[in-house]
Amino acid sequence: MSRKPPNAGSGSIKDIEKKRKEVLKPILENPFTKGFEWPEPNPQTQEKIMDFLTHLLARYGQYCAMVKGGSSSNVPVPSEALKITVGFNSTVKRLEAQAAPNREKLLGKKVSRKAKSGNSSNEAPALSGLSEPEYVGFVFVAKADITTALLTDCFPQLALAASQPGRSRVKLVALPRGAASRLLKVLHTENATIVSLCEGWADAEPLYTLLRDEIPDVQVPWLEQLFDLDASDYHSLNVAFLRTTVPVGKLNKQKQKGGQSTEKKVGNVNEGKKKTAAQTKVGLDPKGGKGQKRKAEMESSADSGMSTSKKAKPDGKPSAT
Amino acid sequence: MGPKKLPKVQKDHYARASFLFQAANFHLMHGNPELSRMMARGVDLVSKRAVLRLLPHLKRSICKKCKNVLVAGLTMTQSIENLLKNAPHADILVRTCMECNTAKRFPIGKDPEYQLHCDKNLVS
Repeated sequence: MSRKPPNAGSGSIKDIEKKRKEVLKPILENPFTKGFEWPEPNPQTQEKIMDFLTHLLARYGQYCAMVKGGSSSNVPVPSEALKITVGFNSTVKRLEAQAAPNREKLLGKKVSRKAKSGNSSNEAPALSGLSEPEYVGFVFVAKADITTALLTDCFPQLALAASQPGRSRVKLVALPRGAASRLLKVLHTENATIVSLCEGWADAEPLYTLLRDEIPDVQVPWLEQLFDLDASDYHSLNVAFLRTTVPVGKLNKQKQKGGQSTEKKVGNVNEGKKKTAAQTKVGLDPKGGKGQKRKAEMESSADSGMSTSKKAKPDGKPSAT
Repeated sequence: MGPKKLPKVQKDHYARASFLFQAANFHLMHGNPELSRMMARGVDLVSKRAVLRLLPHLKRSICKKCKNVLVAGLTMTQSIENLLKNAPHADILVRTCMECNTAKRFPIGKDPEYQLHCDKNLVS
């Protein structure tokens, strides 16, 4: 056997797979791409915010560490514990609970009641102990340290949905790179990448005023109608292109080859099934085929007894219909 | 080879799908969830009939079952679920539609660096 050079194009499937042409396929862009943009403060402000935050959370962090140590009954719960949530689930849950009035406005009472009952069953005991719900004013997300975009994309929407018309909007703060490890040191809790703080905490007022001055409100134009029904936001068509590859050349040949091979296979399978001479005859004429096939099977089942009678049944069903 | 010329596209159906999606959002925001669902269903039907490709972000913002437009906090709830202890690779983001309670699960812990194909190779 003489070997062909690799570029000769022997027509093998491997060879065809190698040759792929780059093409651009049209894809409909999301008209609402703006919801994924974050208000990003400048690095100096971010550092300031980070310092404030680590300072504020220090006491709560000590409490967390002591609870983790096992002496949960003796540790006094700090007063700010109810004003802080750490982690994705607790933060999102609180924001969703806070979005209930908006939800009620949009969807009617039925859905909101359902959602509330769902929340209360899942809520942490600390949350259900609240006399009156605190208003979450500030959400800090270590966006640079979370690589999964799916986790952070929803926060602008969530922050806007949780904002109530009469009060100030929920501020969304992107923390600088490396914030996750610093928060971990302070809070002694894993996955401390998302933190939310409630309003009305006297110790945190300096931080709050800084945030109110420096950080712009979240902008999600297509959710703006929640608060202002006249705010219209229509985007013209945006078709983007996706860079992909398609196989090139000799497709037909490959198809033919594939078709033949499958036919052969089918043929073999049929031959394998047709054990008796009567059945092979049946395969040739389509009309009387099914009945005769059935007969043959009945005979064979009668010969071999109970064990094969089960097999004959499923074949018999389609012929009857 | 220089920069590739963008191919021409028949825009009618894309325009229709885009409009319907925005209309679905509009009606949701104006308190007509049923009308909104109807419009979102239109997006789905048009894209199937005319074989359009929709951006996954867009497609994921419509509930698979009841065609509700999913907005975090308003029409869907989210949580991270982990059925194993001390196994960050088993983190799963569960997004549940509030209307029909259909949950879509994203195994985010499996590959934290994972990026959608459309996020990597989009030319616009």
